[in-house]
Amino acid sequence: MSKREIVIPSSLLYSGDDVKPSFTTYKLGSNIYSSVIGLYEKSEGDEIKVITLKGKYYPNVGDRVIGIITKDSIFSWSVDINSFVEAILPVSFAVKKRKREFTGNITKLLTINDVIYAQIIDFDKFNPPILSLKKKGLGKINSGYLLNITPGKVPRLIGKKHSMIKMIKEMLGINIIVGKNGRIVALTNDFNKVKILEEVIQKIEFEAHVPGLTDRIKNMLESKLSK
Amino acid sequence: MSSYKRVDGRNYDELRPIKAEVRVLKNADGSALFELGNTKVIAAVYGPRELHSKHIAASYESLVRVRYHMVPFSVKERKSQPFTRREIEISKVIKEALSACIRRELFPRSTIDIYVEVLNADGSTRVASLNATSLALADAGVFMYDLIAAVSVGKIQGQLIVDLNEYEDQNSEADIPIAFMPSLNKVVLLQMDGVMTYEEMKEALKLARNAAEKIYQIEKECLKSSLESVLKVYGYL
Repeated sequence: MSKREIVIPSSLLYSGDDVKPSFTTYKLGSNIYSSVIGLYEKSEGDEIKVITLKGKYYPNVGDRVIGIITKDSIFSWSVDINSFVEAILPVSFAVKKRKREFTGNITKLLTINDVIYAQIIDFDKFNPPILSLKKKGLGKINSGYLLNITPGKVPRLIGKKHSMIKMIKEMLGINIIVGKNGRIVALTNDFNKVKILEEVIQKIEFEAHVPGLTDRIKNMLESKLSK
Repeated sequence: MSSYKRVDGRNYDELRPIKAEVRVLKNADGSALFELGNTKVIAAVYGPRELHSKHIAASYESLVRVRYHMVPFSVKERKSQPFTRREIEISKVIKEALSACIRRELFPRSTIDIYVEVLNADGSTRVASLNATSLALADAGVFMYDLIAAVSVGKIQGQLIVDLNEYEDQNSEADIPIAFMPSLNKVVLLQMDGVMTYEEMKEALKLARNAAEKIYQIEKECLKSSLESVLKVYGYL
């Protein structure tokens, strides 16, 4: 494994025109600089990336996120998705029926402080993120415990081919929903298991970029569950 | 020129002892403490976050709001709590300097709120505030072009000096706070109070650039060590 180095805004990462800057980097002349504090690892791809260690979630089309309803209006809800901008959930993307057939009060479907698992279907510079609940597995979350992790560390919590989250689910025997925006819902009423999950998340948060994390989490879970 | 000794025994181009620390406040997204001799400034950053007065939002970029404030016990005679004209002016110049270094176009319609409190004032508070806010922004993970390294230069009894303290500030013939983005070689703040000749001004800018480079190194070290301390525990670095 190649060595990662700590970079700060304006650290020079690469000189040359053969690669592109990513979202976390910028290009001046033919040099690519970091624009954020994080870890940089030289990779083979044609994009220069920096792994961010702090910061808000940046919405991407296709991401599945966990949101909290903050406001309702006539035909839509405003949803806090732990980002710099609130997302919109239109009624037409929240009900299976067509909009004109839905004549009721929308607060009967979802109301303020409800937690939803939704997919971002549209976002650009000029429009806020648009959410949808229409796909399978999406919808309102009725019970469970809401936990948080830094959005940049979500890929580490999920692991390669879902290995980490699968292992945690199997060992704890509970179902867990992970949103790309750094929100996690543990679908259980067993508070002891939630406490263990919280400790696991804290460990991932702290050691997200240290190699061999999956094994250490496995050992930690084994020792916690055997008590 | 080099034999000139200042009121606190420093050389003309010597900075006061500097201390920089990040993550000093738990509730803020990013925070920093910056000490320049007896001048002590704390900065907190919240955001980028949703802007609730939607009518003031900028459609294509994020808004930067800065509140520079001196606490009542920061000066010898108690300062009254409400904002003074000076504080409003400094909030404005800090905001403008930071607006140039933040990649605001990435966060349209949002706001980045920055709160600066001067805990102890001993001259050069606006440059110390700029250094503190730039560290706090980097700590918050805000996307920036570069860190800001700011320093003040002045003239006292015909002698150019770097990093003025309170006494020198009050007795100087000229005083220039200046802020750089050192890697990009850009100036983001330049103010001047007093009179200088063209040659003196050129010399002052040279002195400021050298001093800013030293501050920049300290800021970089501070940010890197804040991450290293976490990663070293696990034998990663």
